[in-house]
Amino acid sequence: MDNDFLIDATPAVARKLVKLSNIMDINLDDEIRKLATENLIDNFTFEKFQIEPSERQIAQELIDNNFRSIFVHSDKKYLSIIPKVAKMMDIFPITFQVAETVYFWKKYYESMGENISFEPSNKDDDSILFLPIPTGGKNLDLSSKRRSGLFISDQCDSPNMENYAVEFPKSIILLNNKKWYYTSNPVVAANIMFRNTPSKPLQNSTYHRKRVLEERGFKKNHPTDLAFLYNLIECL
Amino acid sequence: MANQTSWNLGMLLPYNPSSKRRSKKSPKSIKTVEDFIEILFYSMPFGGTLDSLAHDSWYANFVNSVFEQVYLGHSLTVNQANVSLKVMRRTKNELIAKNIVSKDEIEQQLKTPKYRNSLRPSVNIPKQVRYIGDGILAFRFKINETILADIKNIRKPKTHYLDTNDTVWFNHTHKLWLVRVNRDNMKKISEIILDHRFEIDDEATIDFLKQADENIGKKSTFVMDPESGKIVANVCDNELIAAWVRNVLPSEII
Repeated sequence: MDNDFLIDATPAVARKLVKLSNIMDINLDDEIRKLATENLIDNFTFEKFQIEPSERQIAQELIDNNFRSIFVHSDKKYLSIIPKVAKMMDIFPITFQVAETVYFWKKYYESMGENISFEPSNKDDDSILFLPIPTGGKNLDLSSKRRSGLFISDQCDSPNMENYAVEFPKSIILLNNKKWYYTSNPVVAANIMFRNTPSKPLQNSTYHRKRVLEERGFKKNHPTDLAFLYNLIECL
Repeated sequence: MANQTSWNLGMLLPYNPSSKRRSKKSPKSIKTVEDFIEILFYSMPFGGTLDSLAHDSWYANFVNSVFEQVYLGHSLTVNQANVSLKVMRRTKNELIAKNIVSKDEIEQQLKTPKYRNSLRPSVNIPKQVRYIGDGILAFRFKINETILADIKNIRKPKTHYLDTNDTVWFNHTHKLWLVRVNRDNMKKISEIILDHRFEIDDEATIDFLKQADENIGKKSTFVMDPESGKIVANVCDNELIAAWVRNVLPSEII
């Protein structure tokens, strides 16, 4: 009814608020609109890391979300953008010892001219999380800072996913679905990423669109229009 | 009308021939108020009450509750002792007529009540409501089934399987009922405060209630604060956006 907040004034937050103003009638300060145009990654940097023009908006969103995102894709080819942006921001991956995931990262590092082996994140326990260790290069001790790594998983329905999402501030949940808004997966993923957050904006039900969203002043009410609220990036 | 009592400790007690429900035997001796509570408890029909208490189920519940304390050997509070004497006065004639207690002993207790243990002071919990920030009102009150039912009733009835009832909850640590105010429950909350005469002892709560009423349908505002270098957000009448700012954006509640 009457909630007051102090929000960190970062360009990434300002961009979110500008997006909110597109789907809802709010009073937004011009200073915030100005802030939203700052700190955008320049084309030179994108080119250096082989990020195509078509991928740059997604790359910017990943950075704005501080790598805490739900990444909806229709094809695995789109996933290559994630390691490119991670490399650009000097963030190392953390992954499960699942052949497909390790293969995904190894292939990426090879394409960047680096040989990598994945080793347990903590040698003292039976950790199932693996970190990349450069072979033949200097021995990096990543285990002490594994929490700053980027955790990626497509196991949205895993009971441990919530714990991992809490442990790793930089977490990406991959959802492979062309018509994601017809499933409940985005709702589940949003609840994993942001506990206690109402998932109603992502629910594709006529009932909620009308009763919850329209009555609360949303000008648009389709889940795809509101996806950004939950750091959901579409790559279809 | 026979009122139903809740399940209680007495129902779980082992069979005790000396304390079984009596009707036409010799009167039981009353040396203390606690003796009276025990006799009264065992005199009440299973799941029912005496005729003299039948008009108000509260008394039957009180007897059940106080009996549990007496059974465990705890001392009565001053208020419990006063109410016990009140119950004694109400049931005196019926208990004497049914030959459950002797007239002399019960009148003696009413005149000069005696207790097994010295009385404890009663804890006085005033009925208070206070704004604790983030659109939440905290209600504090001594257990009262009517108020409790009204507070629980603030929850919007679920009309769809995806509806959530997350606007009312109990804080076990502080023993407070917390209610997140929104346009759907404003009216019910105002009625509870007025009907049950909840005290409001600070300006912030009064200001919040006024503001909440004025904010219905109002636009939310986001402005840059040059002093703190942060964005000040005033989210009006929109719990979805408030939850988004609270849980997704790097923010703090003012």
